[in-house]
Amino acid sequence: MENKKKASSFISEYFIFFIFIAIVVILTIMKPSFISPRNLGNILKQASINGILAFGMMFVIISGGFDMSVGSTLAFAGILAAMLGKGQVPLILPLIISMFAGLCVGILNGVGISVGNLPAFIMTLGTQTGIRGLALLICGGNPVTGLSEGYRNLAAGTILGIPTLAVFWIVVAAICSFVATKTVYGRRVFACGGNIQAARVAGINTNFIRISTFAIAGLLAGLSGFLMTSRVTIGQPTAGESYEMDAITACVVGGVSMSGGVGKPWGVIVGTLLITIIANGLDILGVSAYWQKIVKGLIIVVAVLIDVKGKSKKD
Amino acid sequence: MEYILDMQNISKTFPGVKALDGVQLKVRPGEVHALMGENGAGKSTLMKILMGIYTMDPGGAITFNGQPYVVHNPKEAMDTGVAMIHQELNPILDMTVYENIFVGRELRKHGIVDKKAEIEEAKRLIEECGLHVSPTETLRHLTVAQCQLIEIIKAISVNAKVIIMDEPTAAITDREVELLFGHIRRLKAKGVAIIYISHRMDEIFAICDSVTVYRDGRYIGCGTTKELDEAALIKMMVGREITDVFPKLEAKIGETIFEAKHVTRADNKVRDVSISVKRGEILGIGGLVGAGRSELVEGIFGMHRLSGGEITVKGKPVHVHSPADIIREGVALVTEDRKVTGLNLTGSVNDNISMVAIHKTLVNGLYSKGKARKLSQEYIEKLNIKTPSGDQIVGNLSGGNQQKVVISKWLLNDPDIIIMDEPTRGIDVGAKRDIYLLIGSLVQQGKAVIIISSEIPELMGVCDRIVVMAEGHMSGEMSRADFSQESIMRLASDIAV
Repeated sequence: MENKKKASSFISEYFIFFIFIAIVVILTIMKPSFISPRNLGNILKQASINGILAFGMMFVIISGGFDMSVGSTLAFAGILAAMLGKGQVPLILPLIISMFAGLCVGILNGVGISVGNLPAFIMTLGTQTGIRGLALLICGGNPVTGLSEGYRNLAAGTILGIPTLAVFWIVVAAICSFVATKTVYGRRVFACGGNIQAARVAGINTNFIRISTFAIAGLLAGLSGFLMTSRVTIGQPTAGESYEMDAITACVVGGVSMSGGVGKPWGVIVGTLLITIIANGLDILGVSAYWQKIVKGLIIVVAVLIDVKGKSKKD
Repeated sequence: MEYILDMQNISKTFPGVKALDGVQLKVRPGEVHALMGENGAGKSTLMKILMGIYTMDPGGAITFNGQPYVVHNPKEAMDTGVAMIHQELNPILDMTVYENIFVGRELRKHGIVDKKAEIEEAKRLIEECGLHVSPTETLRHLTVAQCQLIEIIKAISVNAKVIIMDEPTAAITDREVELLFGHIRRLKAKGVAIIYISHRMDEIFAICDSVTVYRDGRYIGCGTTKELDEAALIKMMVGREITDVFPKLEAKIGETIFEAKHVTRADNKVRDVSISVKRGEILGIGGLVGAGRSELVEGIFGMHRLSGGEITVKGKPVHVHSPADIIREGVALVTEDRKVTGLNLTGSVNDNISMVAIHKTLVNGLYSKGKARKLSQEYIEKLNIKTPSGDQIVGNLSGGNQQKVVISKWLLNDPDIIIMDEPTRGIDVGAKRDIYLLIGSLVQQGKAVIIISSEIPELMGVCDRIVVMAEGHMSGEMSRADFSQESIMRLASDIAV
């Protein structure tokens, strides 16, 4: 009985991982080119930016929040990076500025939510709209062109055979996993999302924790903006629309609970890869973009359904 | 040093309200000190000041362990040696035992969490407490009592010299209460002082050494439990003498109007239980928490699927698929947890009272606010609900008044059978009495009432007949003449006589 219980909890814990493997196998059988190194590289590239956003989103959701603004923040930071990344300017400058801009948006969100006591949905919906407007404003609504060659080539390049974009993602994933699972800070993020009252009474500065998770999401959105600009080789004020939804989907599919306090970094990685390979696989199979949306919608609902079912069993 | 904690002349003013007015509290090391008073007497406010959640008005003084005591938040209070086990504070369910014990003061090594040391330390503390759970178990998988012990372990592990326990027995069974008392005695022996907040008289006399009583934010008196008795305490709390704690009104018992035969729930939490009640009769259902009492009435009421059983209301068989089926037949259920299943906490008193019998508020088929207000006003007066107006948000009322709103909601539907699950839990002496009198007047009108209660004296005081449940089945039944605490206890623990 004990073994059986253990086995079933093992399966439910790694469920999404098994699904992932199953889909890889199915796609490979249907289209062997799916598994080609070239396509795998593509998948990593496609997944990276969403993967980075998803890690920011992971902290926010685990702490009990929700961030609708990361797509707009990405665009805003991307425009700033494009405006700075011209001529001989070293790449570090647009990188720092775009991350700093993202950080500011994140802190603004966090302060509004924890100090101003606004619902996370409303506050970040506000910044989503406002920051998108700001992105359009600073570039007059036109794409920013004329990036330096080094900047344009950044996202297309590889390091030790791995796409540079993926290297950024791997570094972010490693840092975020470490912070979430090993540090006191990470533990407190979980405590806040699990029961904010209990966390407060235990002496945790819950306002700081909440603000900081939004700051992380903003920071990573800024980084994503920097990378996005390099990837599309221009600064697009309309970039990253609905990217927040992809990030949320990756988290939820990866087992991060929307009610907070639960989530695993490796789940977020698998979640990101899962939605990417489904999109990529459907592309290779020649399925229309409309159908892809329908499939994505189904995945979100089914993933949350599994999450809710799993939880209610334990109550 | 005679007192470990000495609070003098403590006042707290909120905008428009003086919650505390120069009260005092003196606690000796190694004693269990009860704080008593009706809801709103200022107990929680005082404890929040002690924990650094509220700041007191200037003029008061707190001495702890011989030193002036100044704290600004719960963490500082814990670091100084004062810990609190909150009544309504749920633990972090998705975290493990060891994570909960060390939340907010994680052990670290090289700046990162030292998981191994935490698990070892947690294991030691758990064993010391005689608890059998793994430190890596998630709290979601533990019982309420186990979670509460984890909270106690947390309090001990900060080396608290004073531990505040706010209604620690509100959600645990009698057997677990004994366990809790064992832990309290062990803490006492170590010289730890406990500040114990509870509405249950039997507990006060069972475990406490001294009592301090407050009323309306004022200090009324202090004494030892040896020199005080229940009547004296109640008098201090309510300010007048209540000679009759369980008033019982005479009612004429008529024919059987409600019968549930061989009720078995699909999830097997209730097996083959039969109950019936007559007009004018008050039937009590006793037993330990978890014996299946709430599960029985919820099953009858259509909140859970039954796999067997017949329900007859006023001689007519009723097929219950959902609560609406049985409400239509004139049955009402005042559920156990008013905040979860009883009230729309963000709605007004009027909204809540008209929730069930909404058809009565209609004018030409449309909801009429005026009519709803008029109807609810009637019940506010009849049940003596203390609220500024019917437009007040229910979440802002005290527990006793909230409970009266729940009862009003059902009474407006004019039921003949009223089932009440723990109708007086967490409400103060005065409001309890109001509810007993109300139940009495309901049966005088020829209605039937079924009460579930964990407090045996309450059942014995108000009921005509008591059915006792144990582990999902019925273990016995007795009429008023045969009531005795021992036999109910025996049936509840299901020991063959």
